[in-house]
Amino acid sequence: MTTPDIPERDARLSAAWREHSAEMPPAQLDAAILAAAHRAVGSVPQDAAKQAAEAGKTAREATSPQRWWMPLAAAATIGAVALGILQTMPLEQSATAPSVSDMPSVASPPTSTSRDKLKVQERKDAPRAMAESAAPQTAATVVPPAANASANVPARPAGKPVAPRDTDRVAPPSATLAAAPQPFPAEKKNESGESVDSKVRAGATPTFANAPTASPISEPQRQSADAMTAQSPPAPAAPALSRMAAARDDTRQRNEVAQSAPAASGAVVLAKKATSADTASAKSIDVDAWIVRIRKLHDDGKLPDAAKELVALRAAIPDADRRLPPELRAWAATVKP
Amino acid sequence: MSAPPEELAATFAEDSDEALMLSYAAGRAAAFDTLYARHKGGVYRYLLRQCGNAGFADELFQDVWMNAIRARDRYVPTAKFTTWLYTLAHNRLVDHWRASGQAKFASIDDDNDEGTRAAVEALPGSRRNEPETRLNTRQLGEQLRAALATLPAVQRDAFLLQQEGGLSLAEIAELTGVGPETVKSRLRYAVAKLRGELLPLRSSLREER
Repeated sequence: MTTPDIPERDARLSAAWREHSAEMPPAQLDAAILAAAHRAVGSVPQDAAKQAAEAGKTAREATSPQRWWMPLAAAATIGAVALGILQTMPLEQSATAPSVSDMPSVASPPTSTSRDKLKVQERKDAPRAMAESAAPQTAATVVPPAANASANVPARPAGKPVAPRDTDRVAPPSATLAAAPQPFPAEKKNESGESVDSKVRAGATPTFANAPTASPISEPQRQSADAMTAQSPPAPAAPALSRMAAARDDTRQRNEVAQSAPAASGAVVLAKKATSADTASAKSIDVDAWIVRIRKLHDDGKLPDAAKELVALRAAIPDADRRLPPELRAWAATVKP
Repeated sequence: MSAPPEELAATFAEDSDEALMLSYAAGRAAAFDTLYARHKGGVYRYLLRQCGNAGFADELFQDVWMNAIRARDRYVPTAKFTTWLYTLAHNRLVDHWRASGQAKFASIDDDNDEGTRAAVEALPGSRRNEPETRLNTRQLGEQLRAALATLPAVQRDAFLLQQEGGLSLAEIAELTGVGPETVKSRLRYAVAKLRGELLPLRSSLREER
């Protein structure tokens, strides 16, 4: 075996080497190095630039108004509907919740026997009360025109007897505010510690429907209650709310009377009489309180507010000027309708 | 005071490595892409053959190119770009071996020394006297790589710089810091050893051609 001179470079060996040695660095390494090289001189590799452009396009699409305005609008709509439902919820809840029953307040001596008797009596009289409930509603149509706006209150469940609405009877011309769904005010408690507001709200419940009318209320008592209302005239800025409060006071007065009355005393028959008396005297009572309020506004120097009230009174009652006290008539003559 | 990279680049052929590196130093990133594409394979294989571990090779490879990127402003084309680049690779390799407790470039050197030659022959891992092993290796590429792995580091280094980097004797000598004769000797031993390892396959090499 001959050994040729060993050259520094063997052509065949080099060729074989080149042919069989072809490892290359991983692609990730290539990308990392190229990215670093481009970062070093403040540019971006072409592939990376393309990816960045696509990523930017995706991000722009994701944040463009076309992508988010529809969910936003849907969320706003749902929120508005939920708010509306919540606003109307108290009336419906109180109409169905058993906890708002006025039975304990009607049966003042909280004996279970008298309460049960009253319940039985009311169950017996329920169909008759339903039939009679139309009369107070008709009476409500004679109150000042604006008070009819309270009829916009969400419809009560069909088939349930509707009690004569005290709010309708005492509602002044601007009763539209009271008719609108109001958030829950802090509930008033009467002397027996019961919630008065819940009773007012629960006007549609059968038990409550009969309870106020079942109280044998006398006219002097009612007038005294109205006088109490008149003695504390509400702020001119919120007449509707004050009239609501007056209505609650009226209800409270009648409840107090009912508490002092015998529990089972022909409640429905008496209630019918009391209701008719209420409706008959509602207008005069309301007008008197109204005039007192106008007079107070006038005396306080709040002439514009007094004029507004006078205009409203004129709209409600044709002979309003004649009912005014003499000292107000001269001023009333200057107030144009 | 050296001239700006743009002016220096004009003195080289437009697509030469030196012009591209100067262009990259002047801020043209695309020049680096070309340079990298040209030399990434050779540098990677040089490092892979020397350390024999792909993980280490990847790490060293990245370090070499990052060093090249960082040193772009200091690059002066006094020599070929490949010489500069493989110098970076060689130095990084030496650092790696030093850090790992190996001193492959520090011991064995030849220069026609008989003792050294005997030491090379007696290196563990040399499968010169294991014909069965050689015969069992079917792929020529695998045989080549296995034979290369049996070489002393300095001979392997010289061989790889010549084969992968395309460097001349003088450039290898400059890079490794030894005389040209030493490089010549290393190459001679490396080639002889590889040819001896591949002797049984020489016929197949001829047939492949």
